[in-house]
Amino acid sequence: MPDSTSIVRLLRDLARRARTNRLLQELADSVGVVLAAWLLMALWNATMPRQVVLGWPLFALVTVAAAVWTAMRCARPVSLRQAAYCADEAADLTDELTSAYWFVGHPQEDDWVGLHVERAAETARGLDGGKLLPVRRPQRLGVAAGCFAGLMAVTLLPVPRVFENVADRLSDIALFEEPVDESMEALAALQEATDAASRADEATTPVPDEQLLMPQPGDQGETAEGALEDEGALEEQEPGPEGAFTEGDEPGEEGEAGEEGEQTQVENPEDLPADTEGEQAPDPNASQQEGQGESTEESGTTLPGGDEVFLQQGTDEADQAQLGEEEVGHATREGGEEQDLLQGELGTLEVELQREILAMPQEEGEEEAEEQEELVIKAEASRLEFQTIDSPSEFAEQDLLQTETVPWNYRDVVRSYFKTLRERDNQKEDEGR
Amino acid sequence: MIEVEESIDSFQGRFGIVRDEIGKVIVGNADVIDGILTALLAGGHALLEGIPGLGKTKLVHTLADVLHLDFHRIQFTPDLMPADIVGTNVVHETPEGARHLDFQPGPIFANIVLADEINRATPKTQSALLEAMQENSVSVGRETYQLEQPFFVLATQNPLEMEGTYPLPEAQLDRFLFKLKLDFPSVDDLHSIMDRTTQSDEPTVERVLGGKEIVEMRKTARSVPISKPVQDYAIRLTLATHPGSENAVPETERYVRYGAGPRAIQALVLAGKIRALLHDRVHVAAEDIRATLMPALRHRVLLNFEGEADRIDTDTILAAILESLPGPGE
Repeated sequence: MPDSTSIVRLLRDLARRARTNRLLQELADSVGVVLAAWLLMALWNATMPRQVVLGWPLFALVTVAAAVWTAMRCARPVSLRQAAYCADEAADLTDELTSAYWFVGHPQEDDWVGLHVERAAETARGLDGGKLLPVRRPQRLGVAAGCFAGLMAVTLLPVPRVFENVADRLSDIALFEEPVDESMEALAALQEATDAASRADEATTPVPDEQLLMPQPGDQGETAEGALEDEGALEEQEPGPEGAFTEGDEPGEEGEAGEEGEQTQVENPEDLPADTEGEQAPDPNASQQEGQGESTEESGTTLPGGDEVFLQQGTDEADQAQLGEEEVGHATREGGEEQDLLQGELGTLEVELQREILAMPQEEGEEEAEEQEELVIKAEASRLEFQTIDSPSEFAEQDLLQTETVPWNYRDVVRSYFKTLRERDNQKEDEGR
Repeated sequence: MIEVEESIDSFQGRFGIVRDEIGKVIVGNADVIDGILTALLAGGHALLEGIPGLGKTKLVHTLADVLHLDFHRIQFTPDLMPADIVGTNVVHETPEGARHLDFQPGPIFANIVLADEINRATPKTQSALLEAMQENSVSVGRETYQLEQPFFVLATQNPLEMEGTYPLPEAQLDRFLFKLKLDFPSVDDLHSIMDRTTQSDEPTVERVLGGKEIVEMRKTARSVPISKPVQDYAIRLTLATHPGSENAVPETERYVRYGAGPRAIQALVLAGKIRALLHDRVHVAAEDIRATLMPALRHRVLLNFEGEADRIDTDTILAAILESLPGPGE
């Protein structure tokens, strides 16, 4: 038998064995995957109250995928060169068969090559493919067997439905969903009220400056601040510029203003209760103010200059939706007892509701502002981190690395210098964080 | 084929005789002795590095004593000039009074040249060896003189960190087939050295090999076939020393400025062939390439600034390459 034939025959035998081993391994893996999927599905069906939706199609998909994967892996041939390498490794031949197989494929008229192939052929004849590369049991066959045993156990033995009450628990948990939604709606309403309160703040903030024109601005400022800060005080005192004006030290003017309030309430006595009961309270106030507009302008003419300005200011604020509701309450109280009875209840109720709503969002608004501020701070920190990465010392060090102009004895010094720079930069970065 | 087997046996026998003869004087460092003989038989040159007193010069002297070859020694000093190595034209006057220029050959005209402490001379003088080591010829003026074969340069150098040393130019380093490091002897070796050198009779060696046999052994070594997969492995190993190459390892990317060149692959293959013969094989295996990687490439890999600053040894990088690169059949 020619030397090359002996070598190739051994290598083909080894390649076939290697392929068989690979096929068995891949089959064991695929069967293991399929059995594991089957076992999981059977376990679910046996223990859970509900069966897996689309369970069998999923199982079929896993099976097909495993089959395709196995076919693709097994379709790849084992080359004779790989077989030669396996033989060299297994028999410690120091690449003799690998080298000889290459010379068999590239024959050369050389005594040295001939001697090499001859020696390799002798070695190949002395090798037993069965001992060199025996058909091995797949490594993960135990996993597949375990899955199969588990599947049999689940199929044949009764399995207690230990997760029977899971559905009940899930339904209990589902009960909480509705209140949560309601609370979310309430939060949304609070958010709207917060916006309205912020608009009210914008409207009330200029008051202290203009109160300087009033005879006793300190009382008015306190009442204005109290309207914003203290809920109880708001009920007792008149919030906003109207309250300050009506409780001012000018009874005549107060009386006129009260009469204006009375007039405004009397002008639209039927619209107010219906409108204030509704969700859109600002609308009746706005209409009230529209109706009241002429009277306020008239009252402005009767007052002194500063008072006129303040009254005008109050008229402008009456355009604000939320404050309009409060103005209704103030007007009814100041207007007279009959008006208090008729409209005060509605206005008071509305005001109380409104104040409860207003008090909460202000606190939450502060928390939200703090959270937003934290977010902004975090965002700033992230940008700072990018800036510290691009340290100019690294560019300088790169330049030195490339040029190598540093004398031999000073390289350690230069290196320690840049290391110190980096440490300092890192410290700054930490402090920045 | 019988002739081939006879030449293999002859090669192994001669190599063993020389190694044993050198071993009579030199204690330990068997790898260094094998490396020197491999460089000699591959037609290359060797660079020995070690601290003073480890027997570098003694080793080369012993090799010259074992071989029937002309031996010259050049002690490299900072004031040594190139003409002191290659020779120069001198004016000769005949008895008749006529004057003419005669070339006076330098110490480089020998079979074995010991360039002792080569890194104590300036790079200009070191470069005087370039042509001789690569072309086996010396050019003086308009004349080029061929050197007799075998021509073998054995250079010794102290570690670069020592005072008064000049690093060898890269081109000069590349012409050394091997760079061999002499380690400090072990306690047992030191005992043997004391026993041999402090008694009345010092060991002597015999001349066992001539220039003709060495040239014959060189031909034998070059005849060993190498398959493409193994040669490809040697090429991939060399390319792995180049940063940015496909086979480069992280250590290469970080610490290496320039990798080894084609001469490194030649050194790997030739040294691999000799090693295969010494292991009674007629083919070069990946194991032979791996065994000769360190001495063949350690002086051809140039570190960058970071590698120098971190005092990275090129052997570390080569070891990482050996570990990560798959073999010829993998």
